[in-house]
Amino acid sequence: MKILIVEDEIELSESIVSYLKSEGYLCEHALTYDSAIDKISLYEYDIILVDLNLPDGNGIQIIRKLKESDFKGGIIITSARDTLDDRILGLNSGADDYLIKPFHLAELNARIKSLTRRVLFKGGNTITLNEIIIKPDAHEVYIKGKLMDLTKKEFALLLFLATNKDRVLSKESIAEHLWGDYIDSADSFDFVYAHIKNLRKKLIEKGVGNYLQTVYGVGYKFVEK
Amino acid sequence: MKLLTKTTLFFLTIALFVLFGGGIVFYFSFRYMMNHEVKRELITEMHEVILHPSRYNIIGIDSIVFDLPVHYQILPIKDIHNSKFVFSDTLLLDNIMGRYQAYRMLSYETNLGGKFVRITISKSLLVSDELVEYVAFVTLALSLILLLFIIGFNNYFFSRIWGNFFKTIDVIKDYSISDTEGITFTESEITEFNQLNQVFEKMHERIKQDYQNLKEFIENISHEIQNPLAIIKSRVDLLQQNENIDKLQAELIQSIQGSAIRLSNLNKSLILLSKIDNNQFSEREEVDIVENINFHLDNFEDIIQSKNISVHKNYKNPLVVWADSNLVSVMLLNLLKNSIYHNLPSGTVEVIVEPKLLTIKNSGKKLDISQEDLFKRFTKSSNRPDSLGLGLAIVKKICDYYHFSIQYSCQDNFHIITIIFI
Repeated sequence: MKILIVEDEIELSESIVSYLKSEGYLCEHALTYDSAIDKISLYEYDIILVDLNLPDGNGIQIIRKLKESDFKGGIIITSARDTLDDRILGLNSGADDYLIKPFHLAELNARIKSLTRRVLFKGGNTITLNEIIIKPDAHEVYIKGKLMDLTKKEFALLLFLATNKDRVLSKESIAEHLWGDYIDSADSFDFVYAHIKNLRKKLIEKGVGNYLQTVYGVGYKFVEK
Repeated sequence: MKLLTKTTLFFLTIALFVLFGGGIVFYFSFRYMMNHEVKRELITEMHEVILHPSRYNIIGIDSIVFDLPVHYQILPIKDIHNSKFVFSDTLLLDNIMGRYQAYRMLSYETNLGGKFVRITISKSLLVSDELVEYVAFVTLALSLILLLFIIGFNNYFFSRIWGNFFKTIDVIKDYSISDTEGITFTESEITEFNQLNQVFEKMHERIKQDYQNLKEFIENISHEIQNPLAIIKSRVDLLQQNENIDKLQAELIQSIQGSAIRLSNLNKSLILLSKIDNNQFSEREEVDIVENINFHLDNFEDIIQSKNISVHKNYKNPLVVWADSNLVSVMLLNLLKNSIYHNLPSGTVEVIVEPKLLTIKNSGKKLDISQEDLFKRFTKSSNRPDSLGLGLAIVKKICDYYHFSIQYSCQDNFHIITIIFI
């Protein structure tokens, strides 16, 4: 799986590459509009992350060029602009997702995974973690073949943890993922804790091992033993 | 006090002084003139009597001269005490009217054909008094008419002259800095008002320029801040993956991350507020309030359950507003979020939808901030220092933007927010 990161902030681009590489992706980055155009004309990518504000051009133009060249992969826009107009413009030009800066790397990873399932596996993909089978599009979780009863948020939490398995997810990133913008994160920590507790309890009741680990002072981690 | 009232009062005061003073002077000078006239007539009559004494009865005669009752009397006396004309006022019985009337009397002692006599001629003052009264009445009536004219003319000229001034005031009153179109004043025939309009136009240009610069500056800053924040956030994410961090380091990282997120949320909220200020939500559509509330309550379902809060939905009718769906959603989200987060364990939330009215009522602790400050920016309860204190400021801003009226009240530990969709 090959990913191109078009981002003019070197340090951000480095962080993204570092995180995604350890997820097993092949990553390349382009710091300018021109180098991005060069790369997409020379190489094939499965997923492209595009920042809209580039020093020498607009990310929308890159997306239009990709669509003209019959690009089959997924496109995610990363931008500091969060108006509805910007989003509509971005998605109409052919992008599959729109991620507003600043974002958590875990969130980016989850979006990439979800896009991969949607675009490359046409939604038929399931996530299997030992005895747990998650069907993201059907919003269903099976344990040892039996359907598990989860609330919407518990499902979202489990999926988020599973897509970022073996990664430490901070309470902040979980809260943002579950409740989105305009929520004071401080408010949400207790509820993140409550959700984790419930989810853990439900998993243990089904006779599954304790996959949800607490990382002291940081957050939680899904560990596939 | 209004300009019109002030000038009218001013004119009226002056007119009253002039008319009152003038009236008094006029009244007394007229009286004096009348008295003088009566005296003159009495002296003429006296000369007539002295010249032709035989025409007048020695005992007395009443006659009417020019409609004025005149009484003549010639009485013999022993000696002449005073050879001058003596004027005096007296009351005499009027035969015609049958009552006492005021008379002016002239008496003169003289030698008439070798006999000493005192001639007295009395002239009624009745008609001259009536004349004075009549003139005074006419003067008063004219004064009143004049006053009415002053008020009327003042009103007329006021609206003629100051009309454009008030148009200018109306333009300034409706003036909003975020309006993209300029301001236009009506041309006046008065130079000073045109000057005033020009001053306002120039001021408007300058303010607009400053405002534009400030707006761009804020927008640029806000967007530029997001990039370094994105770097901080991503670096912290990577740092947290490190297996070897100890407890202290974890706490430090946590604190950096928390601050970065707060800064980012603060930035987002301020951008939202400035966008509303800048009128960047001009698109409107039908927004279903009930559907929106249900969506948010659904989103908070787990939190509601974990706090064991009971939610009562009391939708009496559908409620649709004509607004930007994003803004309405942000408004409802903030209100519902508050009603859940600031609730007591096992508390209640009641959402009531009535025609043009939304009420959200929740149980909770008493406010430790004043009600006036509730909707101000950066107002937060002392027991929640992590909160941004912008939620209700955003709600208020959105309500103001759409001219919805929002009220807060607190009754027996229940917080009640009411929005009237006008």
